[in-house]
Amino acid sequence: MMKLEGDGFQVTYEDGLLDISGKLSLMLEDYADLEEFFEKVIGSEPSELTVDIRDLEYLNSSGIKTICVGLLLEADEIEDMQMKILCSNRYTWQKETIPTFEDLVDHLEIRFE
Amino acid sequence: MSEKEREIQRLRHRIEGLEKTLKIVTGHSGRIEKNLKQLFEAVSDTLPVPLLITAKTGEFLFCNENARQTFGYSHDGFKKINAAVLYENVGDRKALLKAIGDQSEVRGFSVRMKKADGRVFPAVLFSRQIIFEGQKSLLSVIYDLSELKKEEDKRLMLERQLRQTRKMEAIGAMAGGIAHDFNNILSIIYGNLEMMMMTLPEESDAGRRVDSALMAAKQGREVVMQLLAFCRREDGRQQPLSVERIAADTLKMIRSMTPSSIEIRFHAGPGSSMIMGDPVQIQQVLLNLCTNAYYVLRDRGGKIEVLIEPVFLDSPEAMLLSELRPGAYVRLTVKDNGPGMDRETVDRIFEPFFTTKPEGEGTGMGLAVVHGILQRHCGAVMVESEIGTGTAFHCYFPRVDERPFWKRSGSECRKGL
Repeated sequence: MMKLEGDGFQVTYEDGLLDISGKLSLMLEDYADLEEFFEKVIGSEPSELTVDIRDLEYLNSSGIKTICVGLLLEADEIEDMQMKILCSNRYTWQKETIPTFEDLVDHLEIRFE
Repeated sequence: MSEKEREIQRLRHRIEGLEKTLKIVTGHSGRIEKNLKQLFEAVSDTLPVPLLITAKTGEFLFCNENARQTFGYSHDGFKKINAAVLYENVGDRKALLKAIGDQSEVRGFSVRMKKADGRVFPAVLFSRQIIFEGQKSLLSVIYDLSELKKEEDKRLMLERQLRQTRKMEAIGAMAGGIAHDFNNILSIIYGNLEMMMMTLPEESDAGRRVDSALMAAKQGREVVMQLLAFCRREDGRQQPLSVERIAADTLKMIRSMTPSSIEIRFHAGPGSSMIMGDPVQIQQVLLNLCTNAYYVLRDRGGKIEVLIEPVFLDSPEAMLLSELRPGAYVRLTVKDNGPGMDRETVDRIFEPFFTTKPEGEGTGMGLAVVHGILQRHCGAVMVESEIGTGTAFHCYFPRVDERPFWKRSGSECRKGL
């Protein structure tokens, strides 16, 4: 299992399941470690990738950019990879922003619970 | 498709993705920005104190609802003025900016601030440098100390009044003890002198000396009587009486003895001035107060006003007046436009033997007697004085209703009216 911990957040990856939780409000330049983490995830070329952000309470704009560019766009380039995002209705920002990811990646499954 | 074309297609797809990402990120940050702005406005408008953000030049960038209410400027009104206008002393803003320049934050900066209508109030500022809408700015939170100061003044006044009451009680107890013992001694001296006088020829040298000693003993007895009056050891005749009627009669006598350079005005307000009291003592109160007023006006002339009015004292007001019970009172005021008294004199004015008159002109018992009489009538006397303006003595006597109880309403009876 891969794991990254920072001030108020935690990211883990195992067998196609990427779990991001806590609050992510770093400056853009401080997302380098997370970008590197995503690079390793994509490098493992999973056939399916589930991103679980149900416990991600807050994500700032730099974090959105990091996920979009460093994870989603990179994953989109891997042929036949199935991608799913698990979201929570508890957080307004998820309800407002995550559905806009559908424009970015074809065949992206977004599930709210 | 060639390798190159595939690479071009891949890069084109990537650019499209980045463009979409930019749109997503912009939308997300726009929403966060909007939420933060709404949060800031909600928090600042909920604050029960003024919050201002100004540029270093003094231009207003933000003011909360409380700032608009406190200072009396509208949102646009703030835009038209410079921050320096809010300070009574324009130099205070410069001093604040200098202090912030040195420390980047200032807490508890005492200052007097000015409202749109020109009213000034004491305040303390908590200020710090911030970046607001992209420029270096000054955020200030202002605490209006007016109410706090009023409360503090009231507390100090109550404390002073309480100390005064305790002091007068202690002096009364001491003076009462002395007067009682002294009265017994004087009675023996007086009785023996009278008996000696009966045995001596009137025109003899010894007779004249005994007569002189008798006169001195008489004066001593008067002083003792006044002391007893002050410390409530002497009971008077209590009966229903009209303060207005007694004042009217007494003032006739006072007017006849007062020069025309001193005007005496008498006004009795509508309503009953009935109290339970000793008419001789009420007359003495008025005489003593008018004599004092006359004394301060005798060389310069002036005005003595005697006012009688029914008043109702609620609890806090009554407490300020020597712990009076809330209820209905008759207020007898004797007011002069003389030179007034300083705080130190006011604090000691009712002490027995305290006088501002030159030696031989006053015993210092006049106001002590007034104080004692008021205490005996379950009332109180208080003094208001200001240098250069004059002095007013307010005497409060518990009011009684001249109507029989069956003619009063229930609420009147409960209020003691």
